[in-house]
Order: sequence, then C-alpha cells, then structure tokens
Amino acid sequence: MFLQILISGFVLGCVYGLIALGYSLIYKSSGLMNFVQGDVLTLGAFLGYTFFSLLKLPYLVSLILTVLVAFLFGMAMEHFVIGKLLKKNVLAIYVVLATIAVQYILQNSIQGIWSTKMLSYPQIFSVSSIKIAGVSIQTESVFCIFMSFLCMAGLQIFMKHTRFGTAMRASAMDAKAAQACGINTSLSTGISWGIAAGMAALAGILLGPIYGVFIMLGSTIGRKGFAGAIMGGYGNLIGAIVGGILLGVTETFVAGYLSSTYKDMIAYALLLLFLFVKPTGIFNERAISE
Amino acid sequence: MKKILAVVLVLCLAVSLAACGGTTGSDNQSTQNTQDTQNTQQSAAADTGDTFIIGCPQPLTGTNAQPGECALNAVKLAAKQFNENGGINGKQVQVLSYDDQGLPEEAVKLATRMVQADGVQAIIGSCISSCVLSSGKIYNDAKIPTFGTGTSPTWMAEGWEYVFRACQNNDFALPLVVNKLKDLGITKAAIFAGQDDAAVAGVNTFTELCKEAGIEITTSESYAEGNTDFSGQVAKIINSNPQVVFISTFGPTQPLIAKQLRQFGYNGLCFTKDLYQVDALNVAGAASNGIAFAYPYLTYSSVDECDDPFIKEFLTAYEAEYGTLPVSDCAYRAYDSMLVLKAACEAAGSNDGEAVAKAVGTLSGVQTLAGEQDFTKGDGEGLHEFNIFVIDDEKYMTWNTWEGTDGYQAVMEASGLN
Repeated sequence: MFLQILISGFVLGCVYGLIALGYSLIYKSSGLMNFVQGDVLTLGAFLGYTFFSLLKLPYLVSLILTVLVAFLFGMAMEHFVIGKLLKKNVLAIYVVLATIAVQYILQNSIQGIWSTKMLSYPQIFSVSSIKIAGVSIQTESVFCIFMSFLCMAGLQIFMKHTRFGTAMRASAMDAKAAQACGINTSLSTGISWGIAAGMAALAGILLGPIYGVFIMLGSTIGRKGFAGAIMGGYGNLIGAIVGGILLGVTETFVAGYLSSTYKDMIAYALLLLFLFVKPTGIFNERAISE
Repeated sequence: MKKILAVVLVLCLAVSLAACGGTTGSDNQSTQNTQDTQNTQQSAAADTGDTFIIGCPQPLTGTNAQPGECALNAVKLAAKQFNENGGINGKQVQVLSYDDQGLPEEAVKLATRMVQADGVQAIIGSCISSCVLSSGKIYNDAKIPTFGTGTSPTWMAEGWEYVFRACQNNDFALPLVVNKLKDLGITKAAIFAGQDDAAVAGVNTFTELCKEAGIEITTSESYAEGNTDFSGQVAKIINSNPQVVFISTFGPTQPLIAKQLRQFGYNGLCFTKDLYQVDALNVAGAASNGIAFAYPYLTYSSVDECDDPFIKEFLTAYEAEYGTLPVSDCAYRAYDSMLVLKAACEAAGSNDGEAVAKAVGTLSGVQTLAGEQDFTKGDGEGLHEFNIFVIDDEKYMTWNTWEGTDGYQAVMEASGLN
C-alpha cells in the first residue's frame, strides 16, 4: 500500500507541478499572477480530444497542435487583456482580477463549444499499464511524469541559458531598463504567457486519457498547482515541480493513512504553514517577500 | 497602499456579488439575457393568462452542468410536445430556465425570484438534492406544485405538501441492493462517497441497512467535489479487504473511481447508489465491468440499443430536437416529472397550484419512462419498485441475465465469493 500511494502521489504531484510551472514562469518573466491555468488545462484536454479523437490525428500531432493553440491563446490573452491593463499602469491586483474574469469566460466558452458532456480518449499507448516495483501504473501516467520533468528541465535551460530567457527575466526585473537595453518586453511577456498556457494545455492532453474530459477537469488541479508553486518557491521552476510533488504526495498519504475527509484541509494547511514559516518556499525564491 | 488595495478588492467582490445576486446567478451573460427576454415574455403572457409557466432551476454551469442541461432539455422537449397537442388544460406551457449552479444558496435565491417576481406556477426542481432541500420550503409555502429531480430521501422527508418526486428515491432502492448483498453471502463492504446531500444520505442508509443485515463496513472514504485523484482512498479501501465497494457519487466521479479501483487491483463487485451513466461507461470502458445498481431505467449510446418502446420514443424525439442522446438520466427524471405534472393538472381540471397538488395524490398508473407511477401511497413518491442492472463486457444487463455468465463468475471470484 505504501509504495502504491507513494507512486500515485508522485504522478498526481507531477500534474500539479506542470501547472505550477506555468504560474512560476509567468511570475518569473513578468512578475504577475495568472489564475487561468486550471481552465487552460481543461481547454487543452478538449482541444486534444478534438484533434485526437474527432479529427483522428496522431497523438503526437494532436499534442503539438494543442500546445500551439494554447500558446496562441496565452499570447492573445497577454496582448489583449493583460498588456492593455499594464499600459494603463494599473495595480497588479487588477491584473489578477482580470485573469479571474478570463477564467470564467473561458470556462463558459468551453461549455458552449464542447457542451457539458463527459468525453473520453481512446487508448494512446498499446500497453495499458506498466509495473514499477510491483505497482501497476497507467502508461499515460508514466508519460505524464516524463513530460513534467522534461518541461521543467527545458524551461530551466531556456530561462537561464538562452538569450531570450535572459531577456524575459530582465523584463520581469526592470521593464524600463530592459527596454533601454533593446529588449522587446511586450514580446517576452507575451511569450511567457503563451508558454505557460501551452504547458497547462499539455497537462490537459496528458490528463484527458487518464481522467476523461469534462468542463471542471482543471478547476481543482489549477488551485492545487498554485499551492504547489508557492510551496516550491513562487517563481522557481524546479521548485514548482518539487512543490507540486510534495503537495500530491502529502494529500495522497493523508487520504491513505489519515482521513480522506480532511485530505484537502490538511493539504491547504500545509500551504498556510509554508506561507507563515517559509514564504520563500523550499527553494528560497524571494518572490513573496518582494 | 495595502489598505487602498484591500478596499478596492473588497469593492470589486461586493459589486460582482451584488451583480450575481440580482440575476440568475449564472456566470454566462447569454443565459442572463435569455432569462430577461423570457421573463419579459412571461410577464406579457401572464397578463393574458394564456400560458402555464413552469420554472426549471438546474445546474447549468459547474461540475453538474451536464445532468442539469439534460434535465432542462427534457423539460423543454416535454413542453414542446404538450404545446403541439394543445398544451395543459388549454394553456400553452412556457418554461423558464435558471442556473442554480448546483449550489443550495443559489437555489434559495432563484426560488425567491421565481415565487416573488416571475410568477412561476409549477416547478421541475433541480437534479441536485441539496438544492431541492434548500429551496423546497419556499415553493411549498407559496403553494407551487414542485417535482424535485434529485434522488436523495432527505427533501421528501420534510413532508412538504406541494413537493413531489417522479424519479427514484435512493432509500427505496438501497434495501434491494443490501438484500442482494446478503443473498450473495457478502459480509464486508467498503464505501466511497461524495459529500453532497444525496451521496451522504446514500451512505447513511446503506450503512444502516448493512448493520441490520450483519454486513461490516470495513472503511468509509469520501472525496471533495472537483478532485480527480482518489489514490489514497482507493488504497485504503483495498487494504480493508472488502467483498463489495459501495460507490455513492454523481457525475464525472463515477468513471474516475471505477478506473482507479480497477487500476489498483480491485476487480470485485461494486454497487453505485444510483444509475452508472452511459458516458461514465464510455470513459471508464472495461473498468466499469462488475458495477451494479438498482434503478428504474438505463441511459443509452444509441436509440437502437434501447428495447423499451416508450423510452425509445422519448430518445428519438430528444435526439431529433438536440442532435444527441441524453447522457444523463436526469433527462428521464425531468421528463417523467413533466408527464406526472400534466397528468395531475388534467386530473384537477385546472392548473391552480392547490388543485394540482391535491390531484397528484390521487394519481396511479401514470405511464412514464420509469414505468407506471403511483402516488396513492401518500408519500408524494411515484416510484417504489426498481430493477438491478449490472455492467458486463462494457454493456448493461439485468442481474438475472448476468448470473452464471463468465463475467459474473470472474467478479464473484474477485470478491471472494466462490
């Protein structure tokens, strides 16, 4: 039972981590918060269903198309909503409120486009499950873990070791100074929002075959991803995955060994504990104190 | 600066809450506009007295939007069919839809609006029992005949004179389930349940019945709405070594728990508190095999699968109207409620609330999708008998048909009953 719970918590945590990566990336590159991540996950699951199940495209092509569409959505959101607000020099809280508004608009739009039906993906891999240490895990879950770590490593390299990543970080630190250095801050912010949306959609198309597709798929996962990002150190990309995994494993162990009724309560109490005791998270990211 | 920020935030929230409070509560602006248009039409209609206005609050957004939409579609379909045949007692039926979001507090707000402002004359209530429970008293006090479409026993236990049910009461079906468990020689059962009213009521009744039948509850696990991973709960359930798992959930959770139970290695018998929906079967696939339930009817992936002529006729009409079949039985519940309401109005010879409510109690032999309904027992319920269905080879069948098949043997063996 211990190993089964540990592995399941790890799988769940990687999903939270993937969402948390988006939160952290946006904060790291623009100093903002985006609460649309969970619903972009849902959008990704529905887009993936459309490409893979309805249009019968290969899974890999569906995955790329899904991420691409979500990337464009993220860019558009930054350009038409966030960017416009920032140009008015509004307080950061308005941007947060705007993302909450977009969240509801997106949620209702998804319902309008795809209806309220629960949809299912056909099996993606020929092998339905893999045994690890005697524990059976759905192949899609293993793929999900792999993709989470791949995204984390890819983003870490992109942000720290590429010119564009450095430009994005510079924009977040001081937009005016970055502009003076010739950095297109608007583009870099837009791309960071696009990447974050792409990753959330990636989580959606990865989760679709595991959980099925329904309109509230991403709502709770989005919240948990946010909590995971804080635990890991808000704005830290490695911390996002680690925080997500910590949250996933914690809540699974609480449900398995203590009480399923209080699973979420204890998980969020852990978040509060972090906020009070170590607001900079596991990786000591100074986002909160800034 | 922080104080100013806080004030701004509070003001924004207050404004948004006030906006919600004054409307249908829907997040969807188009729903709001439609509602306003409908209400304008309704006011005009009320002036002429040409229409019979039926309010239909359902969860049209949120986790339970799917069953809510199916229920509303069925109510509108029934209204259309009635109107094509002269309406009810010569009055054209007009349906006003409302989004209760599956939230009891929203249901109360909407009920107040329907009673005080919209002049609703009958209600086909929410498929979420907690919403019927929270709003039922308002309808009852206003003497508006109301048919709830949730399956929890709680709201009918309130004894409201104007509130009825034309679908399953889980309390009536669960004795059938526990008797079956007893017949099979099951002595240990585990529970997995949601925290909504119907789920909790199902657990309470099941636990009580098991106690009387000498069946031990090895563990009772719950989940919060919106969660998608139940690994911890499933591990605990399997570790408690049950012979059957009673699943008291609704909506998208059904296939998730089925898949996770099977993935963790539990291949034994499961019973759900009510219908295991066809879309859950589509999502969970083979993981659904061995899941049973006591219910009056089934949902289908195609009209051809159905062999009940009355249900077939309904499905054909529903598909023609909406281009798809109802994936939730809430459509059946709401449609049956409309049929019973019409029968009551016709029996009363008027659409007056008091007369209709009195007439409901005299109805028997009303032909509905769930079979003949009989309200003469005085409990406000139309259905008292159910069938046990089971899923085998990803198809529905009756328990009797299932017995003796290879699938039956495999599930019984996995439950340690051979």
